[in-house]
Amino acid sequence: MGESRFFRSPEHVVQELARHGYICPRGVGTTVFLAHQMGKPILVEGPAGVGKTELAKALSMAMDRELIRLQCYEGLDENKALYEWEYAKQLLYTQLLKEKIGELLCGTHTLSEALDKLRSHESLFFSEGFLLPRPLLRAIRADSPTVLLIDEVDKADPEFEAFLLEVLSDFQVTVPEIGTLRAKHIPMVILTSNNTRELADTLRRRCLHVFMDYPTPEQEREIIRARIPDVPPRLLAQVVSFVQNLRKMDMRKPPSIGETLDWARALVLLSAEQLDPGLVEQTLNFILKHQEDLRRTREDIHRLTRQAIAG
Amino acid sequence: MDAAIIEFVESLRLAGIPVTTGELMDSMEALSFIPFGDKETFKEALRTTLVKRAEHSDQFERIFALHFCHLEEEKGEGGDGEGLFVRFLDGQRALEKTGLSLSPLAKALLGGEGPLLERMALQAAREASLKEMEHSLQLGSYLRRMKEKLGFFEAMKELETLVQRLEEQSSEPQSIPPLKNILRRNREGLETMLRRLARIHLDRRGESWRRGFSSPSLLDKSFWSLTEEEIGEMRREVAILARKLKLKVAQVDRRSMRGRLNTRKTLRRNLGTEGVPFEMVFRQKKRKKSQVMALCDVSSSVWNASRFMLNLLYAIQDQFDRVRSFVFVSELGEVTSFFERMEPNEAIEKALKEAPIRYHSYSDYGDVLLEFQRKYFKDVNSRTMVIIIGDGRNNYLPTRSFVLEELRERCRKLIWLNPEPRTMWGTGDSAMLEYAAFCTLVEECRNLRQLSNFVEKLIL
Repeated sequence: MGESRFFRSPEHVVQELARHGYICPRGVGTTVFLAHQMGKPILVEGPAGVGKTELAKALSMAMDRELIRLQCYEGLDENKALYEWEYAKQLLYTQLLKEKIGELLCGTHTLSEALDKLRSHESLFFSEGFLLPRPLLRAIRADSPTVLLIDEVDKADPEFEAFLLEVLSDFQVTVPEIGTLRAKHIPMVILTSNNTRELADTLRRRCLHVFMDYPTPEQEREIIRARIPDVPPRLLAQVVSFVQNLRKMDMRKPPSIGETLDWARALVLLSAEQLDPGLVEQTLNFILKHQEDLRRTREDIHRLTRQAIAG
Repeated sequence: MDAAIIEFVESLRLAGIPVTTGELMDSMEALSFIPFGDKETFKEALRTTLVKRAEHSDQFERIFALHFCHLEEEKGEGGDGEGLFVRFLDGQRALEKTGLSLSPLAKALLGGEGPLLERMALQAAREASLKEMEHSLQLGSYLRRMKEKLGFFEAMKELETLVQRLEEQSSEPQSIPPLKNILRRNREGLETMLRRLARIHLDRRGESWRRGFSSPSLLDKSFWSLTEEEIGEMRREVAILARKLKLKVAQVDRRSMRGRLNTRKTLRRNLGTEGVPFEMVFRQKKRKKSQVMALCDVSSSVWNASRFMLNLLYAIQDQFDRVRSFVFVSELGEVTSFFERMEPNEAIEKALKEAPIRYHSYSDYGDVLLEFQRKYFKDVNSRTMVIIIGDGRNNYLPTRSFVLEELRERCRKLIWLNPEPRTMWGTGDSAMLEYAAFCTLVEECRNLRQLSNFVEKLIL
């Protein structure tokens, strides 16, 4: 695990992430920096669409590491997350063994001699060759360090959390038939949660914690500029102010950063220089996906657009 | 530094933020990686290692300010932009002229050396065991003790002598008044600093007491006597309770909900192994969710109990097929739609004020039951749980308990929660004992603990 430490300081993290189009507040930089130094997982919480998953992607780019993603869902178990035996291959192998067994055992005279001979081959049956690595094992066994994203961990069952805990605390996995597999490199682990279910305290304790909220207007402008450099400044300011105002209203699904980016892209494609009510009306479905939200916003579209233009 | 961090963590714990020893050690490790003197990063490092829930963030900020904000900055009394002390570079020269020797404190005061004075003040605070101060009435005596530990009074005498000596020598008489002025400012500065230090300790203690000791008892606090602030805290408590309840349900579910082997799916899944079943597929039992109809008395005597019942019910509403809620005093009004349109707390406030009923009238359980029978009996079936929350005080009006009898036969469970102590039931105009005879379950429900115990029974 003698890899050189990639990040020099919290600022360095922020700069490196920004170089790859990911703008984040200093606090996130500090957590990433410390997690990297201390070899600890990061738990990122916050509403949907604030860029929790993007953080992992940006990190993998900034650190030039492979991103291994484990998407959690209800019913996710060890077999899907860690490893599985390749039954079919094993079966084939036994069949092969059946055919070859005569050849193999010819020349042996007693039963114990035959068994001894067999035993020298038997261990093959449960060997790494038949092991189908799933994301967790892949991250642990990878030859170069990786970024491991465990996305929406709150969607998985509580039992899975307990199991994760075990893996994340010593970065080693015990396969009963083989033994303990240790990490060649400690991966950079990012867990995300929308808090649909309460995570256990034990998991929280093991991680460094970040709460991500929607960005401030300044941050959001910077994010859009980083991704869509050719956006006209006036349009940019208006788009951000419009979206920020929507988030202050009580929406079923407030616009995410990704949706804001899509909207801005669409407006640039339409060669808009600034917002007007008609344009907003036509393109509103880029940022609002819920019927109820759309209806309420449409009713008020003139005022909201005026407000956004006034800044 | 370590001592300061441990003290900080103690404050967090007292304030109800759980911090383990492991996390404390993490925070110390983290601090070893960050540059010294960068306060923002220092704070972020502590936050990310010690505070693992967004809802504790504000408390963290407050407690951090109490512990680590420097004495010289902020807490702005006066706030004329100047620090507490005036630097006096010529002090040393003046001192040499007189040939006197001064104690370290007097020297620091003469030179106006802020950082040094701050260190001395902190040291004195430790020696005077300022941490043990419990009440603002003790402020004076602790200030005096700190001054004694500092050698404040001796230093004052020394400086007096110094001024006298300079006046006697008096080669530059015009320099004496400014010197006196500086010494006065620095003395006042030191006194202000000591006062702030004492204040901070008091605040820390106050902050911890407020949260740490009020919250456990909140569970047992009677619904009768709640302040606005406590209602807010109670809501947070309800949210935590709901979270725990859900976790419990999920755990029980997982254990008991596995059904029989699903042969078809198992065979299909294992085709790759010639139908040798390496992997089993089980049927999932469906939890039969029930519908809940909650009837809440919102007359002034019991509305707090109703409030938190609704609060808790809606926090766990995904455990039920449907929750319908009604409020009543002398008439019955359905408020389900409030909860469909608004977030629970807003809906509850509205339900307590704006349902289509007269709020300021006398409770009339009899009429309300009749109304329920007339309008809603058609919706009651064998999956419905009816929960009535009220004290059963009927102002000696007809009780019409036969409705309850009929209701119990129609529904799965008929439950009555009474926010009055059990001993009061049946006294005066309380028709509780009569009603109780017809219910499946009757519970006293005076505080959050009883409420949560009940709800746990309900969903498990």
